[in-house]
Amino acid sequence: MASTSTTADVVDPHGSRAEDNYLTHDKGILSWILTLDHKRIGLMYLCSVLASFTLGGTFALLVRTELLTPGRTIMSADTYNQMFTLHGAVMVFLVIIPGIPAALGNIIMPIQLGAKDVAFPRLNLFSYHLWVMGAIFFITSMYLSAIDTGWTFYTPYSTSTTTAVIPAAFGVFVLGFSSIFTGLNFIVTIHKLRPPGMTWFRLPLFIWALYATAIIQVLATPVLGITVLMLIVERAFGIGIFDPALGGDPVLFQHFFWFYSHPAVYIMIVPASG
Amino acid sequence: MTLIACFSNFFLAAAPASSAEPAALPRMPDSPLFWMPDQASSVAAQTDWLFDVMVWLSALSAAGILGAMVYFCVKYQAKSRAANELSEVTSDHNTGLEITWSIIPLVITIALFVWGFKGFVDLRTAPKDALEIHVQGQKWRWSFTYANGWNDDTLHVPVDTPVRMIISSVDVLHSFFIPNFRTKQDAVPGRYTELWFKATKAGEFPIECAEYCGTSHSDMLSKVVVHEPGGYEKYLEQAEEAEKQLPPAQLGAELYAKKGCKQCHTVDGARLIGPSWKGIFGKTESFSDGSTAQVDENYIRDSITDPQGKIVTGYPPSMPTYKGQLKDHQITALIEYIKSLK
Repeated sequence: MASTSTTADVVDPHGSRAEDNYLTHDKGILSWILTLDHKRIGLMYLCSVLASFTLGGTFALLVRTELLTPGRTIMSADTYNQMFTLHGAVMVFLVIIPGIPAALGNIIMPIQLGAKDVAFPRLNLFSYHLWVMGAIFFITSMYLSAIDTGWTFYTPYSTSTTTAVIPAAFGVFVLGFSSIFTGLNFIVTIHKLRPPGMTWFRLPLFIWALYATAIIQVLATPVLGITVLMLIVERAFGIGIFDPALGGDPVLFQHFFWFYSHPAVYIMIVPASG
Repeated sequence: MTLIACFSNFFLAAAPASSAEPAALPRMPDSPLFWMPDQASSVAAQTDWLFDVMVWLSALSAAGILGAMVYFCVKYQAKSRAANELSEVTSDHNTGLEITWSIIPLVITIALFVWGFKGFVDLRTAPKDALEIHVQGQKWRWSFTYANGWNDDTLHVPVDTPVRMIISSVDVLHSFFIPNFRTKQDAVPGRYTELWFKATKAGEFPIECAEYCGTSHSDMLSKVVVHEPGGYEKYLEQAEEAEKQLPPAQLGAELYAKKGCKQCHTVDGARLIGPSWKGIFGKTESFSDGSTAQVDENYIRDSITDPQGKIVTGYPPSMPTYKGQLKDHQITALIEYIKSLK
């Protein structure tokens, strides 16, 4: 490629020794938790996502074990409903959504681009902290309240079930913000931190894929945030938005929900294709 | 097919027979299906044909693309490190090829869309003279109401006649699904949805709920009975007469299974979602509002028509009302049945 020499001028690993990089980085737990290094943040995402994957996979195995024989095998119908809800919610919101963009994207994207880091390293770390808090809150509340709505939170089931939908919906809301911030960070990075010579059509395919994904994250995720907020409002204050008994429309929830969840399948597949 | 049947029989034999198979459960396919259930409606063949075309096209494309990928990987692999360097004359573009592999899939996609859209319009447009039957979904049963007001938990239709189902729900989302007819539609509280079909084979076919609706979602089953010509009219005449001939307690036992009571109330003292009926008659119950009452005829009647009025302490307020769904003689029969459960 013609740009090889130009790129080499910019990414000079020996020229930035005075700064915070993998050669000068501290050791210890705090150096990880407070790191601004995109590779470390990416690695932490990777570990957290893999941990979530193990958890979601365990729920899936429990579900399949229950289905081994007709009738009850190891759990009651209600427990089964909670298990597939936990499986679906963990796998969607904690594994495939952050899986490639946040984990792999953070590690590879700045390197492929030829940038030292993402545009907003502190925001990047904040995304991760938000994600961890959201994930812990999400899993704990879903598990403790034995939520059984399925990962889609379809109304009016989610507004009439006795399980605590509000904390779980709030967990989704927090996780959504982590996703939005990552997307925002990537868009700015790809726009502003391309070195001279790295023109749009010289971008590696993976960066293009991440760019497309980031746009979806920024545009679609707020819709999910608003939808779960409305769900919370309906449950908490009895304001009729989705419940027909209160003058609402359950199909409206489906439209709002899939306004996010349809693009969300591209958050999953586009970076993988890239 | 025999091979598949062998396999499915093997798995069935290996699984412990489910002991508590209630008699009222509709007949489900005898063995797990490897492919589609039998076609039994006028749209089924068209739907399956389109599905098959898509499956085989995808399988063929996947095989072709992966095959080409593996072939190229092997054929053009670098024999040495030096051979891996970029050559000056690497070609990166072939307009003819790119246009070819864009146009052909585009044509296929448009063709699939046209076929799919035609099928969609057929599925959505019920003939004007169609027989109309109301179906209502509720946790966790289907209830069908015919033009003469008769209400049943199984769907009865004449063969070779277009039937338009008007679908509603009293609580949460359900989905009315008849696999053999290849037809499915959500039941949404607060609005009517509809679907239509023309059954082409007499016989019995399962009806399922295809939208998750809570604890007993997977038991929200029923069946459609497709009658030979004349059979449908006979069914409507006989149904109501036959019911009135039965002793009340026996009718009550049938209603218990048919009307969804058994989804929440047991008759052997075990706890489900609601209180068990065993020995409940004459007992004094205490309620969540602090009051108490003895279970007598009027209490049971009120609990059926206004279940939210008194909630027995320790149970969730989850029973839907049966007001208007059970006729007076049916409520009487249920009361007599509960009395008989000592």
